[in-house]
Order: sequence, then structure tokens, then C-alpha cells
Amino acid sequence: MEKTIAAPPAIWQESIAKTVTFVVTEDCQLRCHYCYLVGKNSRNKMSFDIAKRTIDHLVENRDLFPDKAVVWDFIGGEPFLEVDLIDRICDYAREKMAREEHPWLHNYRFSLTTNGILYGTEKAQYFIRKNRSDLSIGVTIDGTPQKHDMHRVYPSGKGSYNDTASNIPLWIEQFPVASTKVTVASDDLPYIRESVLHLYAIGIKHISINVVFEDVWKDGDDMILEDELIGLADAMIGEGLYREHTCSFFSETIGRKRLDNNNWCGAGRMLAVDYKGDFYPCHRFTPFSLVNKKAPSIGNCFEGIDGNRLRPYLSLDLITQSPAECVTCDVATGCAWCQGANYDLADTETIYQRATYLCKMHKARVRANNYYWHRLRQGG
Amino acid sequence: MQYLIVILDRNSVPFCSYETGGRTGGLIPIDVLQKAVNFAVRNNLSINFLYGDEPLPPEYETAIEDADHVKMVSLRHAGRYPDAVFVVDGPADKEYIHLLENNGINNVILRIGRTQIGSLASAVRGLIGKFKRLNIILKDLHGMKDEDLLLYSGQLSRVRKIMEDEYRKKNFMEINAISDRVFLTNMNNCSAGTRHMTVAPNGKFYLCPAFYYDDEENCFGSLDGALNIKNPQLLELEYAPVCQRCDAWHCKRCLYLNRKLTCELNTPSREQCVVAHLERDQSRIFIDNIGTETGLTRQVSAIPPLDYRDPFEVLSDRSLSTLEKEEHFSGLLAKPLEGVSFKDLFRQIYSIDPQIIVRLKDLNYSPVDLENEE
Repeated sequence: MEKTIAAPPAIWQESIAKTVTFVVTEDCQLRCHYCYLVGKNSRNKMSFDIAKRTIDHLVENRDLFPDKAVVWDFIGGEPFLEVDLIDRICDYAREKMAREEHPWLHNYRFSLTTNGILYGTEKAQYFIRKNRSDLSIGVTIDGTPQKHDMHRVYPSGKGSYNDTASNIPLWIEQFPVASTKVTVASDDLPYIRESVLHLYAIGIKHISINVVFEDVWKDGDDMILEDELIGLADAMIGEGLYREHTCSFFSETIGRKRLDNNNWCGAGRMLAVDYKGDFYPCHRFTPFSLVNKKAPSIGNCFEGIDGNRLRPYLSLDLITQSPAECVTCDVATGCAWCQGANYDLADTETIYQRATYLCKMHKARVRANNYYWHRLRQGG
Repeated sequence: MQYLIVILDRNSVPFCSYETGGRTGGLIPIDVLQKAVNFAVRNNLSINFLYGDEPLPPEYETAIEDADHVKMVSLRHAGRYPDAVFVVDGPADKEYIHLLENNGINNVILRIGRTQIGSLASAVRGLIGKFKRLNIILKDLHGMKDEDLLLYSGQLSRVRKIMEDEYRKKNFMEINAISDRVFLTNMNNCSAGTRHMTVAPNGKFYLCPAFYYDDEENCFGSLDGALNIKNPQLLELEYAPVCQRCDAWHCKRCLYLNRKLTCELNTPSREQCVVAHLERDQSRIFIDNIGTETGLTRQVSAIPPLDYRDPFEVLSDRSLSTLEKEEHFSGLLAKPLEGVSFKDLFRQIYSIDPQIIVRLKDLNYSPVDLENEE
């Protein structure tokens, strides 16, 4: 009998869309332990004028931004803290694209990622109802109450699970194919299996999950990850969950030798703008995201993009930024890196030094992934 | 590493695109100079000494003569050091041209600022017969606008014609911007940090003088301690994604300007690439025009025309497939090998690394499948 295996939802116009990320606030209700936004504060909020100038620059310079589609993306901090501003920006983007008769008017999307705490508020719901047909929203929930509350906490230390989970049914009702993003650090490795299964149980069908890129991994963590993923594989197959659910730890394309020389990350093809109107290759390069390095702006909404500063990002490939063992690695496909984390962790101010702290974790994932697909091919 | 650059004076003559930032004088301490010479001797390096305006005390001259070296001095002081490489700083040094001998065999560096580009060809004409090799240096590459680059292109064309006339008269001198690309088959660039490094008057090491004059904190060690260049691979061509695909082999690939303009040592600015390609194009026309009559054509590869002036445009063009880009760049890089037989090429590949032949077979052959043989 033909086996039905669910596929993760396609990313909207992934190969042709320009993602423009507005960092509307650097504030957030939470202080998640693993969050790379180290400079959270309640001072720095985007003004409408900065957003307007950014949209004007992008829409009025088609030759510089020839992408066939656009994603107007909103991030924080917590973007729903500034939902009125976001609503106004969305209205203006639509109006500007229409006024300029820009092809993007027929190929655009609004997108935001939230911690979900304010999802059910009247203001947020008004915004969602108004923009529903052009909108995608990701809500971040990390798994079981225990795992979620280990890291996703208020400044007081109190966990945020209940405040997020209470809005999940409404979110799923409004965005049935939405997926959540789960982040895994060292101390919550033992909770991966039960957390993924918990998220499936509360109605989330697609889970994008990754281990952090930083130097946090201890001896034996790879074995814990592998054991957890083997357990998850058994549960997904044993309970037939694979028919309607996905978990990004498992993919048929990972764990092979790489035959291409492409970069993994899209930094530079994306554009992030902060509250001052400074442009960055992605939001991970903004000042409040970096611990060790000065933020490398690539222009601003007043003067536009500095083409020279963008060149290194668009020239990145596998070989010129990777250690030799990564280039020749037999299981390299699917091994991820974050350009911003690489930059922040590098020995010099460069994006051309790849951080490889998660090497053993990737290899553990590959072994569990091999097991998962082997079992599926064997008929479960 | 082949040579050391030693800055003898804080206001030493700038010989490349950098400026000394109005620094006041101050000789390198004699003990630092002696340590630098000692370092060079022990590491089998020759030294390029950068002189300032003030005459050196006798003990300095003694230390300098101890080393295998080249002196680099402003043309204004040519009388003091007749064997030196002379730096001509644009029109400001015009009044000192008479200090250069006719039929001179010195190497001369001509620095031209952005506002002086229009006088480049006449400046070169004024120097003809007074050098064996002339290096043209654009001082303000980081401030170049498109109109400046256009002007440079026009002036280069005139320089190329001057050079063609000289070659017809059997005066086979070199002018970097025209002749270097003609004779090269691989990248031959500044190579700061790999072929040379710099000792400043403070006794510290820098990739080149420009890094010292930009920020004295840019050092990577001192004569009294260990050297530690972090991420040294980024100084190598193999880790420069634009440059390794490019055939403007004479390009300076200035690491300082790379860092200043693109924030990465391994990534050239648009201005750097365009200047190198304007020069490459004049080299191409130079071969076309006088290659046959001078016999050049028999000894060098023709330079193919290009429809771009910046390889980054091709590299980052998302409308081109990976295969199309590979075909284009590999064709450019392999152009000088077109006359070599496959048999010789494969023997050479084998002698370099037999595994490359193994990998080529993997790429070109699939497993035998007799059942599906048509």
C-alpha cells in the first residue's frame, strides 16, 4: 500500500520573494534564556516615518530590488506590542504599491512571528481579521509546559506557557497550516520527544525545530539528542503521526555529501530595518542582536543600500566560509548555520568564518534521521 | 612571505592608495630598525624601506645597508638616493621630474588623485623614457564616482596609445595598468599579509602601511613578540569568492580598501573591480593592436572581451544558473590553457593530485546498467 507522508508547508514564494523585516520594537514581555536578542529594551521603537521611508525606498527602486514578490515581515522583540504601528505600515505598503503600480501589489505577503501572549487581544484580532487574506503568523511555543517554561520566561522568572498556550486554539483555527518554531538548548534536550508530541496533541501539525548555534553543547549532548529523536521517530511511526505531521529534524534530504557550493543562509537577500532606519542583511545583525561585534549596517532608509557593504553577503558560498572538514563532510546536507551567529562568534569582524559548534549535534540528528526513514521504508 | 616593508618615518612617503593622515615626523627608533633588519635576515626576507623627508642619521644608513633591500623615496629626494624606487605624487611633483634621468631604469610610482585623473595621460607622457617600469596608483579609489571611472577609462586609452607607440619603437617598458595583465596567466596582486608585511615605527606588524596609518591598533604582533594573524585564510585567493573567479589578474586586490569599503578583507569593492576591468580592457586592445607586429601574439594569450566590468554582477545574478556561471568563469580562468593538449593537461593534473582524476571520473560516469541499455 502507498504510504502517505506529510510534507512541511511550503514557504510562500520562497525562491522569488524579497523579505523585508521591520524590527518594530526591541521590547518583549519575555526574557527567554536562549534568545539572541541580548539588548532588549523598552526605549527603541520604530516610528511610522522610518517604516514609510523604507517602503518608499524599496517600492521606488525596482532596479535595485527586482525580486518578483515581497514579504513585509514584522519582528521584535515582540511585534504585537506595536500592533497599531504594524497595521498602519501594512496599510501604507498596500497603498504605496498600488500608487506606484508595482508588480508586488499582486505578489505580497505580511508576516510576523509572535510569542502569542497578545494574540487573542482585541487589537491583535482586529489586525488579523483585517489582513487575514495576506497574512501569515507564526506563534512560538516550545513544547510541554515543563520545556517551554524552562526558557521562555518573564523577567520575574515565571514561565509563559499558559499565556501562550491559551491562544493556540484560536491561532490554529485562523491559520490551520501554520507551523511553530522550537528552539533547543543543552538543558532541554531530554524533553524534545515529549515536547514535539505535546505540540502535535494540541493541534500543531508542523514543527520547525533547531538546536542553537552557539557554543553551549556539552559532552554527551549528541547522544541525548539522538536518543530523543529515535524515541520521537518510533512514536511518529508507531502512532502514524507521520501521515499528517512533520518535524524538521526529519528530512529525506539531510545527511548526504554536498555537491553544491551554495550558502545556507539568506542574509543579504533579505533586508532588515531597525528603529533608526538602518539597514542590515537580516535582523540577526541588528545592534541589539549582537553580543561581541559592532552591527554591520548596509545602508539606511535615508540614503539607501551601500552596495559595497552588501557584496560580501551575496558572494558567500560554502567553501570560502567553511573549514575543510565541512566541505568534505559525508553528511553535510542539512547542516545549518546562521550568518549573524557566525559573525558574532568569529575571531575577527568577518562573516567568512563558520561557527561549527553544532557539528556533533548535526551528526546525531543525521543518525536519527537515517533511522526514521529506514523504518518508514521498511513499512513502519 | 617574501619581503618586509619598514616604515622609517611616521611621515614616510605613501607609495600606494593610502595617505599618511597628516602625521608629523618621527623616525623609527634605531633599536626597532635594527630588530626589523634582524627579523628580515633571520626569515630570509628582503626589505622595502619607506623614507620620509628628513635625511637619516649615519647609524640608520648603516643598519639599512645590512639588509637586502629596496629604497622607496619621494621623487623630491631622488638626488639623495639615485637607485631608489621613486614616488611621484601627481602634478604636485611635476617640478621634480627633471631629477629623473633620461633612459632611466628606475621603477617609478605615479600616484594620481581623483581630481587629477584628467591629467594622467599627460603625466605619463612626461615620464616616458625615464623609467623601466611605471606603477600608476589611484589614490582615492574609495571616493570614485561613475564619472571619475569614465574619465579614467578615457585617460587609460590614451596611455595605451602612448605605450603602443613606444613598443613600435622597441621601447618595451612596463606600465602596470596596461602591460601587467598582458603577461600574466594567474592572479598577481598586492598580497599583503602573504607575500609581505609591514613594520611601523612603533615596532608593530601590520598587513600593509595603509592599516597602520588608518588605525595603529590594526596590528597583529610586534618585533618583541609573536605574530598572530587571525583568520589568515581570508588573505588567500582561495577564500576570495569574487577574485578567485576573475581574470583581471593584474588587479591590486587591495585588502585595505576591501576592508574599508566592503568590511571584508576577501571582498573587493565595485570600484576596485571596475578599475581592474577598465585596465584589462585596455590590455586586450593593446594586444589586438600591436600583438602581431611585435610578436606578442605568439607569446601571450588573447584577452577575451567581456560585457561586464564587475564579476560580482555575474556571480550574484540570480537569472543565471550555476552551470552558466561555472561555464563562464571556468572558460575565462582556463583561457591560457587552451593551447595545451588534453594529454599534457591530464598528466599535469595527475602529477598535482591523482585524486582529481578520480573525482572527474565520478562526475562523468554512472554505474553500468546493461538491462536498460538501449
